Amino acid sequence: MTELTTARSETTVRAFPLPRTGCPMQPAPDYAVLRETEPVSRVKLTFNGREAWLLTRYEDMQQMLRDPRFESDIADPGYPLQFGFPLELLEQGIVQRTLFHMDPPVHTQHRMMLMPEMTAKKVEAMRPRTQEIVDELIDAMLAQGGPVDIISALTMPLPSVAMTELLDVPRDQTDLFYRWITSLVTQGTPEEHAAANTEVEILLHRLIAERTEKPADDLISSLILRNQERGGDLGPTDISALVRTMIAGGHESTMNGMTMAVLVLLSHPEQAAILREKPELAGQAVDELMRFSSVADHGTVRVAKEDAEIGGQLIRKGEGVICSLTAANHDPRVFADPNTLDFHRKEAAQNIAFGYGHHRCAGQVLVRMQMEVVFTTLLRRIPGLRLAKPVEELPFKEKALIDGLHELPVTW
Amino acid sequence: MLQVIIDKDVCVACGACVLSGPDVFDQNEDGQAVLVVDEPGESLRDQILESIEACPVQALSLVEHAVATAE
Repeated sequence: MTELTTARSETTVRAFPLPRTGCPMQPAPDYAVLRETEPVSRVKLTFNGREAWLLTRYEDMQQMLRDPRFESDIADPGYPLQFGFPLELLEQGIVQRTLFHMDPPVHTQHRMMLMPEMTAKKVEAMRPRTQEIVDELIDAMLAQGGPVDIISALTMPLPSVAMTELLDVPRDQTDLFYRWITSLVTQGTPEEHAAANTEVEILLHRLIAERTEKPADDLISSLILRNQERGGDLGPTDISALVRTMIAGGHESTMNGMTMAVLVLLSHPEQAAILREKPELAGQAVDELMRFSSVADHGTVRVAKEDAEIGGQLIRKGEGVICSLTAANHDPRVFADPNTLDFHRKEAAQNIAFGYGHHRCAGQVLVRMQMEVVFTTLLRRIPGLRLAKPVEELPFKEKALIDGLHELPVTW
Repeated sequence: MLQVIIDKDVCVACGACVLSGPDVFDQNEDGQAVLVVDEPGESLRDQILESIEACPVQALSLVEHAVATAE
């Protein structure tokens, strides 16, 4: 704080991510200072020494993320890369871009191939099965008796099982998916990532070939059929990349988001009581929990392909920009009293925890539904659910692209 | 009477409007936003405004019909 207030020149370059001191459930304290004093500031990534602009105001992020001059080109040298993405494998064509790193019009074409599978109606049809999975997992928790780690008992298996059923792949492939995604977003080497990537590609290409021959009732078959209906512009590698987009989004970030939301919920018994009393508030509660915890804080980045001005700051062609979605979701211009969790908050649906612009999370409706089921069922079936350790003793992930916990012991 | 305009060139089919305004918005088979009723009544104004705010690509807008005045 002292450093911020004393050194407020435009050339100050801060190490990023910013230190997360204080309560681990609250945003890094410097975000609030920067938002008021230097909303578009310079940072240097501790990961690779690249410099970038950091946005901390909601409105500036909205503007930037809708501006076509800013792209998601991960291969651009100015792109604020924060994890060991194997760029050389991308150049060699061994690793393909997922939706995360495409730009319109290609992004639009590929995304719109997937989106018909994620409509509110289709997701609603998945609710009964989601409820069954959650009930089975909670049955097992109750049979085991507390304390249990709710990550291994519930928030990790639920999204995985749901994904394997959606794609109709055997449950044991979940390990492979995890190995691939963790090699990508955590400390995996390019070699580890290449190996896991090849394994996933072999599996997906086999499934795509089989289901091109004989389509069944699963998401991969639906993608194949829709592609054929639309002229067959996408090849098997493109369809595989779409499925990998889902796997990438549907594991690590969903698990961490759900886990942090459980932590926040159990740390606010008065809000938990409101939701237990009124389960019809579940949608709003999920919005508010997503806003409050915003686990994918700084993964939303772009690179300027032309000079552009954001929040009064000139951003030059080739410069990278990082959005702190946490800072946006705690901007008091949009969310009054932002550090307070309030399930009655009217504007909670405006949170951008799922991103903003045309890259808005493709699975947001599905994840929201899963979270509604998880929170309402936990509160209903285990009324005495509570943390088994004080918050300050919990093992929070450090230096991760997505915030989360290694373990969340709960009891009842 | 309220008139809602959906920009189909911009809509990315994320479903945010259906969650915020379930009585106003639905999705077509491509996932893009469509209206449940062509001209929603005044009672749906809040849902419309919340959906406009929740849309991540600003694909939605509300047009107020000017009161017709005979001159």
